Amino acid sequence: MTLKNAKLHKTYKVLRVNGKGSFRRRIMEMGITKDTLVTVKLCAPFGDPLLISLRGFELALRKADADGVEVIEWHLK
Amino acid sequence: MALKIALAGNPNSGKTTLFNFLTGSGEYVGNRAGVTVEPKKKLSEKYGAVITDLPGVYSLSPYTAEEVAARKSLFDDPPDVIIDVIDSMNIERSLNLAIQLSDTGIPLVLALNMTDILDRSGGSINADKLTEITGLSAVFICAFKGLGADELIRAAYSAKSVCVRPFCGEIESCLSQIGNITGISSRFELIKLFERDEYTLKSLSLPKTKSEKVNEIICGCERLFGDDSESLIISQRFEYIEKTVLSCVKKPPKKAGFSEKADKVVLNRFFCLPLMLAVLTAVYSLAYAGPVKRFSEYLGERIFGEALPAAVSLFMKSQGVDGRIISLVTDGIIGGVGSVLSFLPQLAVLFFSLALLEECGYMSRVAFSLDYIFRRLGFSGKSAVSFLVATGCGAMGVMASRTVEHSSQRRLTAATACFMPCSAKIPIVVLIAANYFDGAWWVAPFAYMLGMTAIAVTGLAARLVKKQSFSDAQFIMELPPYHIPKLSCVMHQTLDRALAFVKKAGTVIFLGSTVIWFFSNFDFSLRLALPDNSMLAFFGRIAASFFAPLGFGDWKSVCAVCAGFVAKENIVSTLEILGGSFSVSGAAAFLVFN
Repeated sequence: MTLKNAKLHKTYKVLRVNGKGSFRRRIMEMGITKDTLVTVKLCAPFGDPLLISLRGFELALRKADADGVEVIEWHLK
Repeated sequence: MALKIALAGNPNSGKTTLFNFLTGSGEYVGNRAGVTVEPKKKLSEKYGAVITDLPGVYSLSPYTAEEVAARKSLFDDPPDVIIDVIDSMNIERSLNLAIQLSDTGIPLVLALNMTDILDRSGGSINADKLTEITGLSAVFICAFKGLGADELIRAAYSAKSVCVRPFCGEIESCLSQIGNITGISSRFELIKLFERDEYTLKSLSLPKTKSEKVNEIICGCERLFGDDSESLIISQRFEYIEKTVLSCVKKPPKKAGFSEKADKVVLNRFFCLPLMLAVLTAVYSLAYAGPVKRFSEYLGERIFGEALPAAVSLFMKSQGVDGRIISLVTDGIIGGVGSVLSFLPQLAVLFFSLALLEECGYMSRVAFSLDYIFRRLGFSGKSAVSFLVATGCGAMGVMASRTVEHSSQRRLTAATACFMPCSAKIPIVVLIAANYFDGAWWVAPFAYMLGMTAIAVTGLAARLVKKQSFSDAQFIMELPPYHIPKLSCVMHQTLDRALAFVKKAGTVIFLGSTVIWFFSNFDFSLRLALPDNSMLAFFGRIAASFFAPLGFGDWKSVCAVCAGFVAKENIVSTLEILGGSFSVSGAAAFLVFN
């Protein structure tokens, strides 16, 4: 599944970042790389963009772009 | 020769605050990305160094205008040492840039900033361990309070070039193989080549045989790891950072900070937009209504309108000054300039409120909340920030459009930013409202609504013309934690903009008023005449025929409009001198046009 369909307040682990070109690179340079743990905190008034928490800070990402991030549910031990 | 220091770091890490402290300036800080867009250089007399404040960047890849500017500045005009200003609460992400900076080969010092926030949160960083693992010297500072600067500069003077090796053996050997084939020694270039960075490939333009061999090596690595080279580099760098951070950073206990709790309310799905409306209404009512408005009116009517001209005129008469000069000074200059200056209190309040909003970090929340609507109009959420800033100063609003990522959205934002009524137009709004609409409360909001409608219509029209779908993606933005704005900073900004306004009054408007006074009081034979028979009336009537279809065709208002092309504040000063009048609908048309 991708980050677009992630449920709020659940932690996910990134499997891979799809897409091509400079934007994919941008997403990765901001810290969304393989094995990163991310959480979707909330979404904007109309459902888009999403507010994602990772590596100690918060990032706004549109659903269309979040769709390029493959994730898997992660259970914190 | 003074030491050349460059300040690099992520947006909102405190670079500009540090820059201001080291050089004694009052540069604009602002708590959102994209505030510092061009490198700024200044000599620090205290430390005997030339300091360049680079725009905040997340990496050295040429993705945004800021990254291009930062990279260019580092390579075209290399500093002797780079100080990487790091938000200590965000050390993981910050080290990504730090490692890339060290790849350039320029000596690097890490400035671990915002230590006060880190201490309060219960976290800590072992700087010595950090230096031990990475080889980079690290100094704790608190730019906000001005702590640690001396030690930082000392570290800068003794900094050495360090090579951080975050990658696994296979990649490092690939890099040296590529180095052998191409003869490149710069680590930064080698890594960029490995990542197939377009900019580097173009600037190196390797011969075909060499580039094929290099490509073979890269492909070999990609096959080995099952991932593309770009992703490999970035992932491995972050893996190295995570390991490093595990050994030297004690993360603060996981309880929601103030920012998170605040965002739960501010960004609540249902509460968000009403709250924003309330905040904006508060900002503009503070400037447009109530005690501030009354004070402005007092200034305009009593001081500049009666007391000052009377006093000056009396004084000049007693000195035997010619009647015409007295008229120039009292009717022309005091009348014209005074009418605009009387708005200073209202504008100062507006500048203050906008600066406060920017400094506390609310602007990125505005961009976040409005992105959905703005995207459908052909803009981006970040355009909303541009428009908000434009209500203070149109030119600054246009500059703020640089943060919009997509080029067509950015151009549209820059082109429409001036549709929003800016501070220079406030006098017009107030004047028309007071004289033709009985000071009705809805005139000012109407002007803003009109601006926004014009923007929306333009955006939709542009989309229709270009047949663009609105799903142009590419929006990624950090939401920095809320800041308690540093009052001295906010006051500095307010004072700066207010002074700029006064300066403009003293120069452009002063000149404009004098010119208008002269041309409206003399006829072609340079004799004193009634305004209706003056030179200005003559030209005005010709121009009026062009403006008649708009609904305000008398020569006085037309002159005001033309004066307004130079500076919008001139409109009110001109009308004050000439004493124009409209019908109610004409007044409305006049307002809308300007």
